Amino acid sequence: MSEKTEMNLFMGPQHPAMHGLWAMRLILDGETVLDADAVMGYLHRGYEKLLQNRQYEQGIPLVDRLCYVESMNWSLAYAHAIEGIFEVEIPDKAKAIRIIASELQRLASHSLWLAAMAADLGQLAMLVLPMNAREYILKLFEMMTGARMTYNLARIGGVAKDLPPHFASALERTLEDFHHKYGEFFDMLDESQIWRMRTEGVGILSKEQAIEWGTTGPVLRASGVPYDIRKVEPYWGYEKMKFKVITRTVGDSFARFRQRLDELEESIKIIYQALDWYHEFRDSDPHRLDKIPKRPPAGKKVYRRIEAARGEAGFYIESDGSLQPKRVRIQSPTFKNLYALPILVKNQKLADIPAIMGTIDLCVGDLDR
Amino acid sequence: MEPDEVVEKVKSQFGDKILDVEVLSETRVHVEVPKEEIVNLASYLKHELGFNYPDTNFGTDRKDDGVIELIWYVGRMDSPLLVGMKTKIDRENPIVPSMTKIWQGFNWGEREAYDMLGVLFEGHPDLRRIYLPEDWDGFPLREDYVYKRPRYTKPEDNDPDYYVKKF
Repeated sequence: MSEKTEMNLFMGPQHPAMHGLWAMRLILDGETVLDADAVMGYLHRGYEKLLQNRQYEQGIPLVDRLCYVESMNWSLAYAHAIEGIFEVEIPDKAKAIRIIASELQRLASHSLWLAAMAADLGQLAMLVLPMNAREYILKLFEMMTGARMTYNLARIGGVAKDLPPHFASALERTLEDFHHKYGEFFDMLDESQIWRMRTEGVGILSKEQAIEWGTTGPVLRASGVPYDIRKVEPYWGYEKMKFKVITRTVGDSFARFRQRLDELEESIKIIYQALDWYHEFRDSDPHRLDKIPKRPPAGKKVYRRIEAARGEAGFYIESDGSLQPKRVRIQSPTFKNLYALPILVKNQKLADIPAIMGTIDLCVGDLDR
Repeated sequence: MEPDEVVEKVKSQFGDKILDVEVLSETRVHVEVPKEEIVNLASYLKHELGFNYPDTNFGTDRKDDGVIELIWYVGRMDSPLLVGMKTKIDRENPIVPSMTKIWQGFNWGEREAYDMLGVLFEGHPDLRRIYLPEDWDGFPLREDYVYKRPRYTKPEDNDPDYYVKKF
């Protein structure tokens, strides 16, 4: 059989009961991918229109549902952008709480990513370990906000409530434990020959491509671009925190995997510093709700972004002086990173697709918006 | 790079072709040009000033003025400054040059603007709807869009005597 045969394959789960779906249409020659096209929109809820038809503060619990894996970062990003519209500066105590919450969310999100990716590649023991580590972080969120997934902690002008009593000791205990488990992740994956064979040299994204295609977050940094919003454009007092911007040089799946693992350690360092900073403001208020004007100034435009677990999460908001925003644009990191995937899988083997897709770290909630 | 520096350079290059400059903050600036000049502005920003990173792009419907406003944000990897290239196009005839030849990363963003606002990007390699089904009627982010719920027709809608006849 020497003649060339092409096969169309629809790859991806398509079932209404699954959370977050997307799919790829592939054209295969044997096991080699000739062409790929992403199919999305299964979870499209029209968030931009929804937010434009609600008052500013009513949008905050809504954007919590934008990405169910890191709802804290999204609602904080939205509050951060609205504060630009209302020209409010938040108190330092709220900043410290926001940094703690945001970094804890990064730990939880990266843990879930690791569990999902390892399970995709058949490492089922690693499905359980990061999930377990994440569970203790969700316990902290439960202490903090009363919820495990959609927290509704952000408020315009601060955060809803102060950290509960005994939170600091629980946080320190959990982080110590997390650090121990983090060593296990390394033992199980980084030193595993099989893991390295599956991920090394697969889906190489060069530095030029990463910039040209507009990738962001860990995907961009794993290709050697030290672009982190927390350093480039610090917000909430990140300029006071001492941390390294992790980069890798190779840009393959293994680099993106190590990139996220290394970022976990930096996040833990930031949380300890933010906790120290928080202790300086024991008896002050964590919000400034009374100082917020009733109506925003008309015609104000703000585009603010934060570094979420998947990359830059941004909101462009335009006000027309009424209680509702005139235009809200959500800048989603998954949307930007996923653009690279159909191009990366070309001329690769079909079995390598999970290894590449896993390291993009999809959250279909914020992809489809 | 400071916004003022970029504005100065762009102004000296394009002169009175610049319709409007908005400085939103220390790190955000909008430069508005007519749509005939947008490609020149884009290649000047990328090749002369080094704005090689496509950040995001979107459109806003302004029904009262009869225009759709389009913004492409571009950035550099060594600075937080984002320049928004802005242009306004006719709402009834929404055709604009695509930026995908200059920054490939705007591909999906322009598909989304087509999907939501019906903007036609000239020279886009793959202009299809991205979220909504291909046969969707209308463009949801336009101000005059009315959502038509897919209607289930009951038998009595077509024949008022349906139940009367049956018994």
